[in-house]
Amino acid sequence: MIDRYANLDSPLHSLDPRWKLLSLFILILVCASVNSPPAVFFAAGAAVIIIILSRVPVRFVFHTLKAPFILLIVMIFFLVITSGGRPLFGLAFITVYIDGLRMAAIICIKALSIMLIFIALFGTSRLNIIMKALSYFGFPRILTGLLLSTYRYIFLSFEDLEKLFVAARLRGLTLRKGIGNTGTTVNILATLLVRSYEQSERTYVAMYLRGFSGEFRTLEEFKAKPIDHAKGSALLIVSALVLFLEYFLRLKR
Amino acid sequence: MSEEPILQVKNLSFSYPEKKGVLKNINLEVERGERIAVIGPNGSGKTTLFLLICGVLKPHSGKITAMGEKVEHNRFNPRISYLFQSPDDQLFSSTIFDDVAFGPLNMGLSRREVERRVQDALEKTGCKALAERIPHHLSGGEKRMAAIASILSMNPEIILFDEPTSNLDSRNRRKVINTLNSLSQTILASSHDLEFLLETCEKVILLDEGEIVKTGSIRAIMGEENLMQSHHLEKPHSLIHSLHIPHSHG
Repeated sequence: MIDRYANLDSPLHSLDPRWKLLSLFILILVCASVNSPPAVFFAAGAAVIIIILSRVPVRFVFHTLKAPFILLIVMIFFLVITSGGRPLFGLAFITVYIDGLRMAAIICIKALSIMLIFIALFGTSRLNIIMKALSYFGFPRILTGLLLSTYRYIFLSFEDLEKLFVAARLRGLTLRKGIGNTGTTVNILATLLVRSYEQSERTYVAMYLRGFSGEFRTLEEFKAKPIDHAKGSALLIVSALVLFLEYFLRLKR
Repeated sequence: MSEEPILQVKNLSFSYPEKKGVLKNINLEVERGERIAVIGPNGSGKTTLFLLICGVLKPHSGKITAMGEKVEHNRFNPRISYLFQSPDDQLFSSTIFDDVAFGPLNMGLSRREVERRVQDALEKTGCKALAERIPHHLSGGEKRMAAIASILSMNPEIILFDEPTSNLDSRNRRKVINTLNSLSQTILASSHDLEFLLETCEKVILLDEGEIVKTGSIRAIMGEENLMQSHHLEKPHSLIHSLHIPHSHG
């Protein structure tokens, strides 16, 4: 769960959630938009410092990055052999291009920076607080409510799915049999869908019985102190510096 | 002058579109502070009766009055609470604290009052240490106690417990029994765990095929072996005075 370490104490944890959401979201957008190596490396450095400041355990960070990193590796592989441009070396029918490597490195660093900032954003506040901050900025409440419910119940659905597959395996389902088992797999997924629907109905009743009227209320009250303004502004300055490096160098060229 | 019943159900009938006659002409009166067990085989209408009492379902005919007011369909009434059979249906917030605070916050109470009620409910159910935990990470017993805390924080006058001991080990089952016995509210509890009902309730309503078959003292009714068997129930072991254990001859 992404907000597992939301109760730690760090400069990021204590930052007003609205400032955190605004400044880190802008930094994510800036990271995604820059392409020049100095700007990308500067943003990556900032992301690393931010994650260190967040005090989220390194093991958790690596664990969270594992799945996207595998996707990145696949993407890099295809990029370096298909980008064209100056060839670096060739192996049989595969040619690795310098431009492809350069592009892959930039994309890789940008993606990792964005993910680190993402972990710092969602890992240092409970999700319902981030959602409340999103609502503060005008994000529709129905969507924040849906996101929260999805986040809470997706783990249950995965558990259910696992149990259904175990039950099917114990009665002879083997994934190696391929197409023959497609029907069973579809049946399992359909069962999961029906169960999830029923679960959502029961949860709605539970919420209604406790007075839910479309808004997730919390005891958390947002109060931005001068230190929050300072920290938030510092993060915005980081974004500005990244943009400056990107456009200053472009103009110099 | 005797006090008005806290809950009155008059000529209540209900059908689902796919199942007719789920409840047929139910009449019952519950006095304040009473603890009533609702027993019956699967599909006898226990959960439906509870959902009607708390206003989730709309009766086809008849009337339900609680605390002197008609129970309206789809109107939030914090004075009547319902504990779901599965705590996963009940715990939907990111932490147990948030879940227990959910009802009081929607009741529009002050911050101080919400915090007081949450702390009270967590203490009563022994869940104080779980306040910051994520529901998904709790054991079945912990989830059950947290779900009970989430309804106690609303300070309801009537609590409907639907299978509160299902899937619990004996230690957690005992916790639920002790918590229920410490409550002063009016309680209606449905369960197939008849020993649990014997320990927590004084009266029983026997439901079968949507009708109330018999009401009265829990020990008297559960002790009637023929009656229990004719409605696919078993007389609880604690009410069987002499158990015949066959001797082994070796």
